[in-house]
Parts: sequence; structure tokens; C-alpha cells
Amino acid sequence: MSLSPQHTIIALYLGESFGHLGVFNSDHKKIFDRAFFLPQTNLKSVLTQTQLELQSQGLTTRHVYVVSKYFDRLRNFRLGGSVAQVVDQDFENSYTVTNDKCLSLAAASLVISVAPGQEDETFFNSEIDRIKKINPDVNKVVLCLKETNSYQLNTSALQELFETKGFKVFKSAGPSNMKQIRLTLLQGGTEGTKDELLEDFTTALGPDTTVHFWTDVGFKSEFQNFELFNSANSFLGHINKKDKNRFCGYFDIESFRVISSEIKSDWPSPWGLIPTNWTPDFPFQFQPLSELKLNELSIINLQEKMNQYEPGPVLAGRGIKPLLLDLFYDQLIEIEFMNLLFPQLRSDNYRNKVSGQVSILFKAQSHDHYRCDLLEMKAAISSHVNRICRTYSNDKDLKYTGPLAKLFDVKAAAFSWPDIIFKEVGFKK
Amino acid sequence: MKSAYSLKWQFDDLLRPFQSASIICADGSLLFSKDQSKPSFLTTKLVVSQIFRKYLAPKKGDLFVMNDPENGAFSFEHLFFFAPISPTLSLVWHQPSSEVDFKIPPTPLFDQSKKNEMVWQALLMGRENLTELVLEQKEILSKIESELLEMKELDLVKTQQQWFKSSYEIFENQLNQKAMGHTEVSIKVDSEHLIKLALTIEEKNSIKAIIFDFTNTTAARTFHTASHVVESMLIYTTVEFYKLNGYLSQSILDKIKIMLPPKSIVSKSHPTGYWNLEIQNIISQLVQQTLQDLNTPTRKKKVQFGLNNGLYFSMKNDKSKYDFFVESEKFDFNDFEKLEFENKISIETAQKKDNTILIRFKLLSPTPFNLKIHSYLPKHPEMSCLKINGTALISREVDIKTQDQVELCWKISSTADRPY
Repeated sequence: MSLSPQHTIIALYLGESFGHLGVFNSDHKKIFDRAFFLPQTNLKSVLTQTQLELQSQGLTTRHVYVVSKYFDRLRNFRLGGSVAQVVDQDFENSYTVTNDKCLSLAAASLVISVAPGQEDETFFNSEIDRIKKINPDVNKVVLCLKETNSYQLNTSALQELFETKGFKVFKSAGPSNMKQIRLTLLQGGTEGTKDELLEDFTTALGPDTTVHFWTDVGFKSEFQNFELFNSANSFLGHINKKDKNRFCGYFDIESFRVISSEIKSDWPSPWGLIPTNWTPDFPFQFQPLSELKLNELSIINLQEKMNQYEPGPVLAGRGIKPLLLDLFYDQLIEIEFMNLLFPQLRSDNYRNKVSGQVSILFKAQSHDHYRCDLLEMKAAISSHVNRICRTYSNDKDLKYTGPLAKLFDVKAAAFSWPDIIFKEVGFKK
Repeated sequence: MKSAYSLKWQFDDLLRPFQSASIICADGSLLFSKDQSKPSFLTTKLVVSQIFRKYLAPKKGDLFVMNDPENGAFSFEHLFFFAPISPTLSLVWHQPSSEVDFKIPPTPLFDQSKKNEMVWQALLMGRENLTELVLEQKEILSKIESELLEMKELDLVKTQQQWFKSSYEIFENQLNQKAMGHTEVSIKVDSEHLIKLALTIEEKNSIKAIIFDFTNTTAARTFHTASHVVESMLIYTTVEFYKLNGYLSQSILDKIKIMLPPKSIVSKSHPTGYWNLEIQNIISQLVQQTLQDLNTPTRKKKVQFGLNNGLYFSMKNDKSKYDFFVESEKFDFNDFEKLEFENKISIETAQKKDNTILIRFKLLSPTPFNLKIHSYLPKHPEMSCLKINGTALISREVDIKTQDQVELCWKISSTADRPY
């Protein structure tokens, strides 16, 4: 595939909290790039600005290539608040009976339980009225009925009935196939998020733009929602495999993790086992947005539970609680991506503000034997990161990658998401 | 020299692969302990390490295992591994293995990095999962040993002393912020069994100490457990109360005194450790109550002690084993999905409704399975939650054959189901 001179393509990494977009012309030159922090802006606005800039240069774009971790923001949530289920009697919420740790994928109150003998159109109409009273916004339904049932309304008739009532219908395998039910419910429960995301692209860039998401089989414009959960890991695993590495250490402003290059089936998702391919990752105990806090013993500590992305680290401008990332403020300025993302970091006054917030905590330590200073804490974190990476390295140097890789490995190669995505798209001049 | 702060990071990293592990110094004292989950094996690990150190003269490259509840361990399915990891340090850790339902006395798996062929023949032959577990432990151990090469200062006595000092300072600070005094509490488990605990926190010659005294606890008959099982939970709960998790060392242990009447409920080991979970649960409630009583200046409330229901069972045949666990609100029935996927069962009901889980399945596998209840809380079980062909289970073990129907019905509850 090649590009005509007035056409460009956009390569975008869309994380849970940040994005990095690059626009490339037919000569494979990056015309410009933008990094953005989602708590301070939104994707639509970034894409609109990009489109305006392209128009001002007499350029257009028809294709956007996206590697995404955006869907991962759903991982901590129960999903399917507006998803109804039609299931056989005795199989109500069957997908939740195997483990208490799994999050819910559909509202238990929106279950329509079907027993032989009661499954005519009148029954379903009254059940639809019932669930509409519980949640007037319910607009999706997952049908998971036994294939061998002898109901008056078969699955096709049921589908038609629900569609006439304005439901989007998702069909699943039989009720004892819990993995498949979870997959279909996840598909239904994430439909809204996907629609909103795609709408951002079409509204900003026009309806003729095709958005290609990276999945475990490469870039695809027709994809299933659940494939997007694995997009970033699969992409990095793929790159890593080409480099003949089994693992890589990946570092950006929202996650530090080791990523395998192996592809596995049956994803152990936060909602239970789901039959889809996935690339395992191993998050570090401490993440860039882990809060720095004095614990009950007045010892300075990093919280294992990561803070929410909003308001973000002090260095992002709005946060007042120092996070792990803030400890490294003076090194982050050396990283080009961080300057693009938080240009204010270049200002001395601004860095003094970050340093002030961090030093308040260090001054508040009360133990004589257990006191530490900023340098020591940074050294402890770096040693920890290196030790963990070594356990995956199998006597071979583990590759450190990602926008912040240089924090922990000065030899790490420069990393730019748009460049690496564009390279993988494989356009010919 | 590294500060205590950096040392803690190193200890945490070293013990990262484990839920429960301890680093022991050359003189047998506890340098660092990680104890993340219940049941607690805190003192059990120390007893295990003493046994290996005393009777088997461990050397670098050795790896030992044991699980004998009458000889310092917990119960058959809880394995304890022990290995010297540096010139002055040893590591003792716990790994569960539901496959093991027999006694393993203190046993050398590797002698100076070489497999002990006789032991491998006798213990691991034909037990693939157990062999895999042992090899995994060996691999983890090798990684720890290589990590330790970069942490040579941990071997220095002065580093260890520094850690003991820091750990004690934290303990002292925490104790200073809480009340001292004396309080007592008791639980009548049933008409025959009483557990009595007196707690004293005192200061003598400017040194503070915590004293737990079980005097007047009933003598052991059928319901009893080993002293280290009781001590493990005593210390675990105390450490949690004073927020000392991750800072426990010998310098703190030395300030906790425990008095257990000999041959009593709390000091006589059980051949299979059958009551360990229940007695640890009781001990945890007693310790929490005494510490709260001491630190609550207002009038003491009458407390209702009790247990949550819990069940751990397995289905096993010659080829495979499947485990199932439930306790009050927590449950892990993932293996039902596995069995269904492997066409060994056909699920007839799988329902979670009105806070009740109901699973009913028919066995399809031509090979029969042995269904075994490994532990059940509370002490006097009514196993009506498990039915075979519609009849409640009356024994702890039953064979199920093709077309037999198994039913599990569990009421999810967060409150104590069985008050004492």
C-alpha cells in the first residue's frame, strides 16, 4: 500500500490516560506529533485540532492506525448495567458461580429467566416491560439459551422480538458454556464505549476515515470489542518477538510492566475466563501513579494500589499528592515525550513546585533508623525495577522499552509510539 | 552500609515469589518474614527451620521439604521448604499442594544441588504435579541465590544487627502509642472445651513486653492443635494490630512471651492437623478482642465469637485432581468450568440467585472420581450443602461414578454462621 502526496496517515497510541499521535506523509516523514493527557483534554478535541492543522496544510487523512490500552480502564468495573440476559431457568447468572473475585458483566436484576411452558411472546413482552422499569436505558440483550430447547419462540424469533423493541441483540452459546457467555456479555457491555470511541474519530476526521485497531492478528478495521483489551500488549509482544526476546520491560506514565511475547488462549479477565487470545503481562508492584505516603508508622511508603488518573501526578499540573512519577521530575525533563506531554516541566518554577510537594513528605518522617531521602528512595525504586526485570531475563539482557524506559536504563533506545506504529503499518513510498 | 529503608526493599524483592516465607540468620533468629495470608505459618516456619538445622546439617545447595503435622508442620497439604541461601542465611517457605495427602518427614530433595535420587524415586515418582512443584521451587531458589549475590551486605552481621535495631525501634514506637495493662477473655467452644487467654502488656526495667497466657485452657482430648499453630496466629494477629507487617524480626519476637499449658487444646499436635484452621480462627478472634479491650477506654461490649462456614473439597481420580473451596463470601469453583470443558461433567444447574449458589452436575467421565472433604468449618459439620444423587453427604469421602448427580448449595453470608 502507498500514499498519494496529499494523503497522510495517523498513527496513534491511545492509553488509558494518555495518548501520543503522529501524522505521517507519503514520504514517511512525521509532519507533527501530539501527546495528550486525557484527564486534561479529550480524544475528540485532539483529533479535531489535528484535522484542522492538516486542512491548513492542504492535507487529508483517510486511515488511522491505533494501538490501544484504552479499554483497560474498564477492567476495574462491573459492566453491563444496561445489558439484559435471557437465560434458561436454573442458569441465572451462571457465569458468576465459579469465583467470587470475578466482576459482574451484567446486572442481575435484568435477567429474564425462561422456563419451559412460559416462553411465549406475552411473557417476553411483560418481562421487557419489567426490566425497562428497573432500567429505562437497557438497550442490549444477550441471548444464552440451550440449543436443544423446545421453546415456542426460537432464538431467531426472540432476536426479532427484541430488535423491534429497540434492543441490540448478542447471541451466545448454551448456558453452561460460561466462558462463551462472558465473552458475549463483555461484547455487549463494552459496546457503548466502543461506539463513543469510534464516534470521536468519525466526528473529528470525517465519516470516510477508516480506523484500524491492532489486534492479535494485526491491524483490523472490523474487530470485536474484546480484542481491544489486548491491543497494546499484543503489539509490544509482537515487536518483542521480532527482536527474538521472550520478555520486555515496558515503562510509560501509567504503567510499568514486563510483557511476554507469548500468545495464550483463554484470557483470565477480571470478569472470569474468556475464550480469546491474550498476551500475558506482569505489572510491577508499584506503578507510576502509586501514591507516596507516610504510613501508620510514619515511614515513607509507596501505595500498592494505584491512584486514579484524575488529577494525576503533581507534575501534570492539577495533582497535589506526590506520586512515584513525581520523584523523578528532574530526570523526566530529559525525556522528549514528557516535554511534549507536559511542556510546563521546562519551567524552573514549576519544577520547584513539584520538588516542594515531594520534600514535605520526606521532612515528615519520624523514625531515626528508618529515614530515607529522595535520592535513596529513587535508587531503591530503580534497583527494585532492575531486580524484577532480571528475574525475567534468563541471563540475557531484558529489553527496556516505552516512553519512560530511559528512567531505569540509560542505554534504552529512544521510543516513540507513533514511529513504532507507523513502521508496523508497512506503507510503501 | 545500606539503610534499613533500602534493606526492606531488598527483603521484599527476595520474598516476592512467596505468600509466606522467612529469612533465618545463622543463629536461628528470624531476620525477616513475609506472611500475607491466613492460615498463618509464622512460628511453624521457625519450628520447621529449627528441625532442619538441628537434624540435617544443611549446606548450601541443599533443598529440604516436610509436611508432618506431628513434627512441626501444619497439615499434609501444606508443604514447607527449607534451604540455606548464603553463608549466613537460610530461607524457609510454604507452598500448598492439594495433591499431597500423606505424611512427608523432613526430607532432602537436593544434596548440594544434586538430586537425591532415592528420595526422588520414593517421593516424586508418578507424581507429576508434585515433581513440577519441587522443580519450580528449585528454580525460584536459584533466582533468589543469584539475586543475593548482588546483596552481599545482607550476610554481614552488622547489617543484620542494624535491621534488628530498626525493627525493634518500630515495635517500641507502636507499643508506646497503645495501652498497657491486663485483660482476659475466654471462649467456650462447646460443653467440653474452653480456651482462656490472658493478655498482659507491661514495662519492666524500661523494656516493654507482650505476654499471652493460656493457663486454665482445657486439656486436649480430641479437639487440639500444636503450639506453633497457635503461636503463629497469635503473632500474626498481634503484628496486624500494631501495623508491624513487613517489619517483624527476632527483636520483636523476643518481646512476645507465650505461655501454653502442656497437653492442652492449644499445645498438643494433631496427627493430621485437622483442627488447625478452626483453632487459628478462634485464636485470631481472642487476640483481637484482648487487644481491643485493652485499647478501648470505654466499657467493654459483650462480644459474640463465632465461625463462618467453610468447605474445601476435591474430586480426584488416577489422572487428575480438581479442587473446590468456599468460605462465607469467598468461593473458588473454577474447576467446575474445567471439568465441563473436558467433558467430564455435564452441568445441569449453575445459578447464583438470592445470595445462594446452586451447582448441580452429572458425572460423564467413565472413570469414577473420589470426592473428598479436606476441611470443613465449623467443628460439627452438617454436610447438607453437598448432596450425591439427592442425599446429603454423611462421610468425608465418597466415590462417584458415571451418571451420579452431585449438588452443591451454598448460602453466601458475611456474618458468623456459627456462634459459640
